[in-house]
Amino acid sequence: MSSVQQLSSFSFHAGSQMFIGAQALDHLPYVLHQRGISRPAVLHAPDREGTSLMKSVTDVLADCGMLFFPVVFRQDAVSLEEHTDAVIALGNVPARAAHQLAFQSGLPLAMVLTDLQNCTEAGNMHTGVFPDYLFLDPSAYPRAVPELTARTAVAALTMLTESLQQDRAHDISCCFSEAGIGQLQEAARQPLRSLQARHAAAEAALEAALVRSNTGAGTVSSVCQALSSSGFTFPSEASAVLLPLLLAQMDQHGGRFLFSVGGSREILRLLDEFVPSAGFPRRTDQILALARSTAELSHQHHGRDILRLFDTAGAEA
Amino acid sequence: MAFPRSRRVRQFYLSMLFLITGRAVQAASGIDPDIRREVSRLPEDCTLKLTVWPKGPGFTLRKTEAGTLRLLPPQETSDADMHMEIQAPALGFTLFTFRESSAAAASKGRITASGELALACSLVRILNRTEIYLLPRRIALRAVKRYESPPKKHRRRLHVLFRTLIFKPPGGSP
Repeated sequence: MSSVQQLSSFSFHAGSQMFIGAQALDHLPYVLHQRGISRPAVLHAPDREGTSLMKSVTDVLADCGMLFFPVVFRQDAVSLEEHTDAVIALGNVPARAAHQLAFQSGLPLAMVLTDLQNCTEAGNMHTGVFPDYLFLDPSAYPRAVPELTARTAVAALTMLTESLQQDRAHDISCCFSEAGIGQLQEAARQPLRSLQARHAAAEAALEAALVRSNTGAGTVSSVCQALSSSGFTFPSEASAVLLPLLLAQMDQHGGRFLFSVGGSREILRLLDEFVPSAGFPRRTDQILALARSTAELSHQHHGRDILRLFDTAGAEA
Repeated sequence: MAFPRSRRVRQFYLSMLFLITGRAVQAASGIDPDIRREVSRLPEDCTLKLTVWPKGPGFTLRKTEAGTLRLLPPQETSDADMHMEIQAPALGFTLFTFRESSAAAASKGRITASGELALACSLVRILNRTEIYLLPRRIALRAVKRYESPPKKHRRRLHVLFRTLIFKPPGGSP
């Protein structure tokens, strides 16, 4: 069998058109205009009122003379004005409500990522939200906390790293992974509060979301997602604990997966750069125990894979 | 709706920049041999338009029989052969404060072109060469993809600036 993969057999499955990086939000009015949209509703949670993100969204729409209706999202129901022709949702929860509404009435949906600035939200796989357009603009969060950037970086680093060892990963996905890790190296060189660092972390999150759309969720990401669904931890916190185990296993295979990005030592260095700024509570043992019990209960292959990780780590210890 | 002062300042800055750049392109098309060569490859009576969506500013250039470009008056809104559009005033401001090169802006999808791609490439090359004449080297390095210092640059620069300042305003006879 040839070792050269066929380009014709490759496709990404991220349905949303993504706008990521500084000034990404400025594209919003033009994108809506191209679809013939002139009266969008801006759906947001009550606590978003007056925030810099909300102001950025309304400013770019007003700047281009576009009429819009701010709609406050409440738990019970969402009601839109009669002539609304699109929904712009700020954040995950309003987006989920808007997704159902948009699906029923055929309205286009644009989603602006809020403080859950991680690649899982960018990939939209666990929430079942598939917006037409997705925006992640680090310049819209002037008071962004470094924790957010660090957590984004850790989650992205995990996805990018584990995609390198996946059999399903296409060469192009590997290129995205390498580019994403390069962005994280760039983010680590800057103060995490700076726009450059946030921009680089957002770009890495995009690369991770694209890679994940090709390779599917990896072992560590799936278990982290399961742990976060239980409400015990964030995906990025669990990633920070489980990624070193994965790196140990990758090293056992000669470290060839990580050769192009500087080896497992470089990934660990990046992890060490981001984890102290992420503000995770110190509960490594609890996370490890929970991950093991989750894996033992799971009948899927990810469960067996994570147990194998523990075995490798145990043997090394 | 009353625009905040910053937006009005930005709009004024962009209007001035577009006016100066449009005039400078017209002037440089009669002076620089490379731009003349570029213009000579354009079809006869070809019109090229560069605007900021949604309300401008912008400029339209038409190829004359003499093989130069002429800046059309703003009221002439005929369909251009190639229309290049910057997607938002804020993006135009980033581009024309030279924080981002036109190549980088295009690669980030901030500029859309409708019409022939070859005409869009020609307009970008003409704009780049004009910016080399208009801007100091340090700023021009950030604005253009590749800085090539033209021969007799300073003499031609003075010539372009002089013609930019005193040329007949749009609306007059060509």
